[in-house]
Amino acid sequence: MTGQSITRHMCLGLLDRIVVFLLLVVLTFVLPRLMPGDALDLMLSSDMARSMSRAETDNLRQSMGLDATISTQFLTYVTNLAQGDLGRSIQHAAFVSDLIGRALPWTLLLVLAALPVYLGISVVIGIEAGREPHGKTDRAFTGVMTLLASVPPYSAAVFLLLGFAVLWPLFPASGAEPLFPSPDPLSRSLAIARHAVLPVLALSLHEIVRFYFLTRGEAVGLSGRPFVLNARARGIGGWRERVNYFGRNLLATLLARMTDSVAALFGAVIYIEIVFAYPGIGLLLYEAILSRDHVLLQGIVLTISALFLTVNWVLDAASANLAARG
Amino acid sequence: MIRIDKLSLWVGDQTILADLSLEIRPGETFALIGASGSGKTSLARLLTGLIRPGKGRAFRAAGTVEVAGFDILAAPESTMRRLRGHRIGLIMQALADALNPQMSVLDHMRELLRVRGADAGTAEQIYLDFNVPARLHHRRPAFLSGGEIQRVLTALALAGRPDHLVLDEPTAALDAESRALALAAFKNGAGERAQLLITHDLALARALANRAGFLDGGTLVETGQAEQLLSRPVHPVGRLLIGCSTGATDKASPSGIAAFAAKGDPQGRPDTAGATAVTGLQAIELSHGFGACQILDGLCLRVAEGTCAAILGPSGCGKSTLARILAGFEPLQHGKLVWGHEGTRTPLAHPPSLISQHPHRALARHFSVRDVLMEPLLLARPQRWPRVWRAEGDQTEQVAALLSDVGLPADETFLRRKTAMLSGGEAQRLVIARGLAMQSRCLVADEPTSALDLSARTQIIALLNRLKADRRLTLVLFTHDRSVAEGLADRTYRLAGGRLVAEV
Repeated sequence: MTGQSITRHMCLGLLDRIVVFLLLVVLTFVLPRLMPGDALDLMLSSDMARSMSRAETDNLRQSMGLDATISTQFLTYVTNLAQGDLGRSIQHAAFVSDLIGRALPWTLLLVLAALPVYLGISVVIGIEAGREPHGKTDRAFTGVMTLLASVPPYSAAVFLLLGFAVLWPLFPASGAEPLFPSPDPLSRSLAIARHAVLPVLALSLHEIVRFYFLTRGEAVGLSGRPFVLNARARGIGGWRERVNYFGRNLLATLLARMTDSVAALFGAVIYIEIVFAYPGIGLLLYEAILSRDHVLLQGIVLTISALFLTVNWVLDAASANLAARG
Repeated sequence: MIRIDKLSLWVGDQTILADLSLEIRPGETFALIGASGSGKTSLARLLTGLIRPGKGRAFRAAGTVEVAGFDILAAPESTMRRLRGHRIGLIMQALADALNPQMSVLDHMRELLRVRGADAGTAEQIYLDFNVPARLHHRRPAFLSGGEIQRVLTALALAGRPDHLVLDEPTAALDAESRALALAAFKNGAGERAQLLITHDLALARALANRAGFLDGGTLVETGQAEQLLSRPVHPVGRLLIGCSTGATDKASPSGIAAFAAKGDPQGRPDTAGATAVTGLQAIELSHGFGACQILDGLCLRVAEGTCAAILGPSGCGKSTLARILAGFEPLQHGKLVWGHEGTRTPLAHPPSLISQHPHRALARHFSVRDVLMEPLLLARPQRWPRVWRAEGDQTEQVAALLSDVGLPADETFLRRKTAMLSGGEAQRLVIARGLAMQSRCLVADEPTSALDLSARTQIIALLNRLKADRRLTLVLFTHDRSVAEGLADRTYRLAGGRLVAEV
């Protein structure tokens, strides 16, 4: 692929993702409205609702803009969205964008910290195992990974919590930082790091196994390729063989799998934030579902999908670029 | 010095080498000649420690192998790594996959020099010494031709000045010019080296070796001084191998001459015949380029049905690209491919099948011989729904007929053999059989014999000649080997500057 066609590929990819995002906007708008009743009925259905007269509810409905036609509502929704206004969460009594803005950095912290952990561990041991298929190292690592693979990821999170926060309280059990954060930035970041260790570990375990088997399989294939044999015959070994001959030729496969892994991480981060009561976007989403906060739900779904589509687009372009090398 | 004493090598129950004894002193070059599948490559890998036999491993070995005073079979991996490149070099046949696709030509040499603790700045000069011109230094291997890859490999293997060198079919993929260059490189410093040359190329063996031996059934059946042995072998196996070689020229050229003689005028006939009624393959105004590099420039070619056009050219001139375009592997950029009389403009219904230089890479490793041939036969059956992927009686017969057509056994054990376990010659014959199974009226052969030993080469040439006559098969042959072209071709062209020039 030449430089020109890569640019073309990237533009087409961006267009694809914009179309997908617009479809999602329509979907998030339509789905809640397909349910019987509207947002006001939902609010009034709670036990604490006081009895209101017909005139009062009509008045409220009008002020919430729910009496307009579907098309007018959609138009308002899209116009607000275009201005960056995701609406207000009535349950939280706050702007949705503020809520997301507060939660998203914590989730990004977990995801970005987990990424190097699981990639580093799984790629290093995967290459180590795959460069000599069926050797001692391979058998040992593959054995351990098979064991790990049989532990469901949510139970791994619970086990980690039980082991290192309750039975042996090395790390805090919940939250992203202490209730009263230290004013000193250094000790505050240390506290944040301590709180992040267990969730990051739980999140990484989820992906280590997948990436280990992927790397090992690819490395087994590479170890039989003539260029690896030739390099060994020239006396190249050690880290050069692992990095230049295995690592660099694995990049394309790893990147391709990453696009799918990022989605899996955002899925996994939800229950990990629930288990560790971590104030990220997953917990917010969970609360929004429980309290039937549709506006917040819409906002979170759109934010996560926009984020995911962007990462996906960048990774896709990078793998296309790499694949062009052959 | 290389000393092999009573070496036997098995993989599973299969014996690869049996009781092989051999001694090569410094300054000596020993040529090991054997048919494909005789265990030559395993020996080369064993000597460099790339095959590590032992308990719990795929390979088992008995006997001793000593290189540079080290017991190779017992030496730990760390010792072997220090020996490799430094004391023992290996030059293998240049496959397209022989260099790391992610690294440029220059990166390979710099890395090697850093491993040796040498100055990485001398990399360019070393390449220039080995005839790798500066324009190639920053290319990645995907943009090198077979001959260029071989030169890079030679430079890499000899850069560390090893005093033991194993050459495993080192010139198989080279054109005449690069072959002479390679030969000069192997000879340079051979006085201090103990060299083992594994080849089926007798001319190379004569030029390079002092001593020679024939390998058959995993053991040396005859050794002697190279000159004497290669001209007058005593052992029947040696006579067969040598006989094939002389047979190749004796048999091949008369048939080539006969082909011309039968037609009376070697130049006129294909042309006039093609112009009037005879159908055939036509390539019209093909132009092709990668980026700024124009490879084909308005190329025209007409091959009449039942004839063979040979296309010669130095490495890197675009032979493989043209072959891939003709076979439909590379999308046409400009121009047309047509089957028919002159003046017809109907595009090709079925692109010709490609017979590639590296038969093993053209076959799925995990397919059995039967699977390989059955697939095109099943696909060629008239469509019906639901599709039945089961062989019927006549297909089993067809498979057997195809195999005997190309000189392969058709018994059950061979049919079940995985293609990865075939030797180069067997695999190439299988690829041709597959091309026939696809009912192609035209075969495009890209260096079809360069990876084969002499007996296999003769058989393939005879086979292609027979197919040409019996089945009216049209053949486009790409080669750098003039003797192959003479044995097969009705017309010979030279590819230069992106166009074809007819040769007499």
